[in-house]
Amino acid sequence: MSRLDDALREAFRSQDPGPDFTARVLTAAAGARPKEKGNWWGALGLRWAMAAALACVLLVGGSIEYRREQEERQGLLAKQQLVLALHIAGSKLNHARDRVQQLNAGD
Amino acid sequence: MKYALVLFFAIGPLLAQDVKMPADLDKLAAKASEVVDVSLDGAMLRLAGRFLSNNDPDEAKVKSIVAGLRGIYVKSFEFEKEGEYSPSELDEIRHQLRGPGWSRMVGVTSKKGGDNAEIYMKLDNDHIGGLVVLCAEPKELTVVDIVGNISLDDLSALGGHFGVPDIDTSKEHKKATKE
Repeated sequence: MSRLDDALREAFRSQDPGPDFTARVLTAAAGARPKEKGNWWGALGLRWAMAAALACVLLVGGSIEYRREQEERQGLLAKQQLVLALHIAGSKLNHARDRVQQLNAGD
Repeated sequence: MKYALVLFFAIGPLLAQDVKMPADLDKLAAKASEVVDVSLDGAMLRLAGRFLSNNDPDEAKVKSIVAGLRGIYVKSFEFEKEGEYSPSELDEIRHQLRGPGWSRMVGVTSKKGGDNAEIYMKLDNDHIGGLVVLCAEPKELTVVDIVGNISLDDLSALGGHFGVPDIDTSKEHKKATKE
């Protein structure tokens, strides 16, 4: 137990950073600035690239969705026309059949 | 080769339609009170077929029948009063239907009532390759052109579907012409 106390005491023992501590910190901070500037430009470029990629995705997605909607609209219209055409064809076939039956009944 | 392809694509739709609707027919639209003009080629029929449900038995049946068709063309004009069109408007179509393969199944002509109906069929080998219905009523003129492989059984199967009636196949080749 006393050995642990000693180890802790040794670890937390206050040390004098030295007279040049402030200078070392300022130098380190000054040296780090250009690096930060470079990262900022890099981050900006990445943001533009991401924005462009997102715009492309939205454009392609929107285009696909627009085409799908157009196709659906055309398909539903074609279906309506098909139903109408079959309805007319059917009614006219009925009409012709009725006329034949009338003639047969008349004979 | 290039010209052959251009020619093929230029006249392809016309060949698919088989019977060409007379241009003069469209002029009747100006006089008509109601006009129906449906023109569905093979591509449009396939597109329409995609929107027919497989779960609905009626639509599924129609879908299978439409799959064998290459086109459906309908022109129908309804007029306010009689005599707005000449019976000869359909002569150009009738002339085309005199071509090889076509036969008139039904022809009902009434001079008194002016109520005429004709059904033509095109036979390709043993099956029906096309159907044309011409109906000229006093206030109505209708041309229906169905292109493609459709049998009378198919037509019978369409009975009740969207108003298409049952056709008695025993009367398949019955011709009735009376003036």
